Amino acid sequence: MILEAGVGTLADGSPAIPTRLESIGSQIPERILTTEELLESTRHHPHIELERLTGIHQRHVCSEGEDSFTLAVGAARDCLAHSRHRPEDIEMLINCSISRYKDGLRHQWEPPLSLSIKDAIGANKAISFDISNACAGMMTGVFILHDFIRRGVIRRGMVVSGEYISSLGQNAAKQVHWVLSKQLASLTLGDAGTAAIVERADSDTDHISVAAFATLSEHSRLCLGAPSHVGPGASMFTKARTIHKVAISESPPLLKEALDAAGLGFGDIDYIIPHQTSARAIERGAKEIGERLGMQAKRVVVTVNEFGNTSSTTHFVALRKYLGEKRFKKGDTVMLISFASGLEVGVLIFPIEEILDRYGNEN
Amino acid sequence: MGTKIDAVGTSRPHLRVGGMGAIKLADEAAHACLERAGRSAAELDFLINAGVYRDNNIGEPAVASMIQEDIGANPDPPLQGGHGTFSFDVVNGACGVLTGMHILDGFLMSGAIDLGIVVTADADPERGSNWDFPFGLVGAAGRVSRSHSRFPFAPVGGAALLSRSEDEDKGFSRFAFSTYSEFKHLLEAEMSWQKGPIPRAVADRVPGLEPGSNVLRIREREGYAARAAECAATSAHAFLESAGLEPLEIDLLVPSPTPAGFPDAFSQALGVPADRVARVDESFRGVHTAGPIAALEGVMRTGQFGDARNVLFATVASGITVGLALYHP
Repeated sequence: MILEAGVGTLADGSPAIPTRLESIGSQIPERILTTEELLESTRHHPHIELERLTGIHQRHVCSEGEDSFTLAVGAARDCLAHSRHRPEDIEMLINCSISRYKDGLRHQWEPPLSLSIKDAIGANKAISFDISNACAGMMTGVFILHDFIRRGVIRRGMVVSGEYISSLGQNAAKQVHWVLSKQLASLTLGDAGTAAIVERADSDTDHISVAAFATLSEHSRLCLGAPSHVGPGASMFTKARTIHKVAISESPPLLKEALDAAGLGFGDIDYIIPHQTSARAIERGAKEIGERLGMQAKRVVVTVNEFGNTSSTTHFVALRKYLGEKRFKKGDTVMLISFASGLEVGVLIFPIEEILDRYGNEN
Repeated sequence: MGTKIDAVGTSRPHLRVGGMGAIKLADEAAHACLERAGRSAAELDFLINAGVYRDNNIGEPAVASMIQEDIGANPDPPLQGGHGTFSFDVVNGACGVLTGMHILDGFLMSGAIDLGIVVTADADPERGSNWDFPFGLVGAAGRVSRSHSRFPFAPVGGAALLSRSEDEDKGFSRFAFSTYSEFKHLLEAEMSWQKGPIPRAVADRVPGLEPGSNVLRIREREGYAARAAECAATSAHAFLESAGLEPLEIDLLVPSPTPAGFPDAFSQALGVPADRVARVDESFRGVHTAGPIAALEGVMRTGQFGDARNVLFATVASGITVGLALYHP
């Protein structure tokens, strides 16, 4: 994998500066759409037990006036509300939304959406740009910030994403006929925004242990999202079972490489947060990976039942929820695992330390 | 120790029927670049795609992953001890290539990678036919979305191969990016649903469709080139001052070739003589994100690039975004 440890040396032999996640924010739309309601809206009324198959009971979806931009801005503001930093302290802002909808379902290609987000939150000193890496977007953004900070180029930055992707479910509802439809995965999607501030760490223990990525591009064409021809927004076509199968079969050596770099075993991780696609797939996948790595995970976080698959934001929706609900304790180790179209395999391992204090944790 | 540019490559359509999509153009530019450098795709650790207008406006996966597969850059899982390749897209308009180089420079300087490539291409999204996805319904390219009127940018691909130089005085020494959002209305591109008729054949095949289609609109408003030159000059003066250089100490200026008139207006505003400006030939007229690579290819060929001590890259994009980099060949 392309891997950067939290400590160590740079190419010129100088010491790398450790980094950490300083704060995390989210913006979840209030409106809830249950799986039962979504299936009732399908044109062909396929007899699919989607909730039983995926464990998804509901997802939050945008109402009028909400879109990728408003979700991203809301998440950025929530992140700043829990941060020691002011907007003008942000030195780099990376937007990684796949859906870049602003003013409804108007996809903004240029200027990059990061510019509008930067203006909205007042991060007027930040270098800004967009990246696109499917559901691995937020983790890729953290990887980039980690690299810039560890070399001392910047002191802190923000990665942000707003995913207004419920239109894919609406478009799929017009076309899904049966359980093997290539658009079935679109019915699992939900809307959400997330943001995270990554900063220079001044601690020997409270820092990102490892960030690593590899793209298994022989599987790059197993999932396609593009503007729809059946209605506003986009459509997505996925060979979901094949993606899951290759992700589980081919990722264990990569995960082990990242764990080895952190000096940890799979069983040492307190909270595994995988990409949230379906509760059953997550549980089955974690078990299979655990068997391959020779030890089972202590806890595997599942939030897809409540939020659906929120694409690039899923890991940080889960983190924000767990921080807000005070589920972590100081010293816990978290491992984010990304399986995204591409096929992207990404890992981020870090401890939960000072960040707890900013969410009212009394532990 | 700095990041050096080993080689660049460009590509233009050569298929008469149907043209070529951005992915195919990027594939060919990457091949040309690697061949020129005498390197293989398997040696790549990092691949960043910076193109904006791609086959049928694909949003997922990252176009970079498809280019990685097409050129054979470690598409399968890395063997024990091997790196594999990591790829993703950067979207920053015509500054995207420089942003990609900025990111690659970082991972090279951190020691995480040894070799990386920035690839880019823009083409009319309707021209995209390099799908090869296992999905029938969207396989007929051109029906998923369409472009409003004429697509304004020339179909051009570009690639730049970067590695680490052991000579600390060589390569990139600094980057800077700035934005002038008061001018963001001067160049905008958006895709939205426009009501309108749908072809009978499609309506018969897929009943219940909403009448209309997703349409790409790109608007460049009057005054964009002049404002871009003003913004770039303001940023470049501050950039050179922080680097301790006078404009006349710049031996070679590699500017964005577009918008039309920008290279001349900017070089004059900055005070760099016209004969030190890298220009593209007529065949690259209308180039978008591949512009800096096309300009660089020309001065690499003539030897002007290799002979320079101080090279200033200056890109402008919607936003208005200005990207600057100082390079020592």
